[in-house]
This record gives sequence, C-alpha cells and structure tokens, in this order.
Amino acid sequence: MTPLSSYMILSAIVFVTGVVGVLIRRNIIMISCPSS
Amino acid sequence: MGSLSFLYFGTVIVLTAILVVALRKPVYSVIALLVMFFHIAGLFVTLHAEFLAAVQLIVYAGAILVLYLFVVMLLNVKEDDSYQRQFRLGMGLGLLALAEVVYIVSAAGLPKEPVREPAAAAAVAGNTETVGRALYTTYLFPFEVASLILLVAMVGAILMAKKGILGPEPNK
Repeated sequence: MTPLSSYMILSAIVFVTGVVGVLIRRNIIMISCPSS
Repeated sequence: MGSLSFLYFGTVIVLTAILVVALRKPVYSVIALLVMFFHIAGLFVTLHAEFLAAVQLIVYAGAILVLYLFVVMLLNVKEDDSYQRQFRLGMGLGLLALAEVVYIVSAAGLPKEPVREPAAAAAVAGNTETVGRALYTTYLFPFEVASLILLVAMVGAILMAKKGILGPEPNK
C-alpha cells in the first residue's frame, strides 16, 4: 500500500508544474486552466 | 497492487501535467489536461473515494474543460511562439518550491503506514454523506471562504464584461 507522504509529494509535483507553467508561459489559457 | 496502481496513475498525472505546460498548441494542452483529469479520478477510485472521482469527471472533465475548449476555439488562440525570457528563473523558482514542499512533508512527520481502507464513517454513512458532513462541519470556514472568493471573481467578471454600464469612465 502507498503511504500518505507519496500522495503529498505527487500533489506537490503537480502544483509546482503549474507554478512553473505560469512563470514561463504567460499565456492566458495556461494560467486560467490550472487555476480553475 | 495498490502501489502499482499509484505508480501508474502518478506517472501519467505528472507526465500529462508537464505536457499541459510544455505543449505549444492550446488544444493539445487541453487534451492532455483531460487525460490528467481522468487519471486523477482513477486515483480517487483507488482510494475508495468514488464520489470525488465522479465529481472530478462530471465537473472538471465534463464542464470546465469543455468550456475551455470552447474558449480556445472561439478566441482562435494561436500556438505560442516561444517560452518567456524568465525560463531559467521560473524553473529555478519551481525547483525551489518543490524542494521546500518535500522538506515540509518530510519534516512534518506524516505517518509512514499506508493509506488505509475507507474510514469507518464512510463505510457506515456512505461516501457522499461523509464528504457533505465534513464540508459543513469541520471544513465549514474554508468552504465559506472559497465561496466568497468565487463570488468576488464573479462580480469582477461582470464588472469587466460590462465596462461603462455604470456611467462614463473617469478621465485618465
């Protein structure tokens, strides 16, 4: 079975991917899609 | 079996998340986002959160994503020519944020034992009822704050869409 910390790390990776996306691609769709 | 499914869903989620950010054509990005939403729903199912999986599919994949697809097609958004100049800065900040989150998670002393089967409350009352009860008791304040933020966003969108309806704009 998977420990809780694995889920936290996965969510952190996805969150950071979104942050990087907003920082490097200032496209309105890129910004608004993940934030919804 | 649980670890294997987590590995599969987690890998696909991370890969499609990177594709959403990296792909140049917005329509392809939206399709990658759709695949990601389906796999997040799968992850919820492995955690026995069937209600959340259904909501994930109905609200995100069914409604919000279709709305974005319409917006992308109506606005005729062309493919992005290049990355912004602050690519290195963005990557650096992103890696810094990731390291910070990993440190916080490891320092927080989260329980090492695996995520268990659904809680006894969920087994007795059902998935939907448990979520509703938690939302309106334990997490009532964050729930209301989220609704307030959405209300402010809605008022802002109306004001931006109906510029000038409240009288002439002041001279700049």
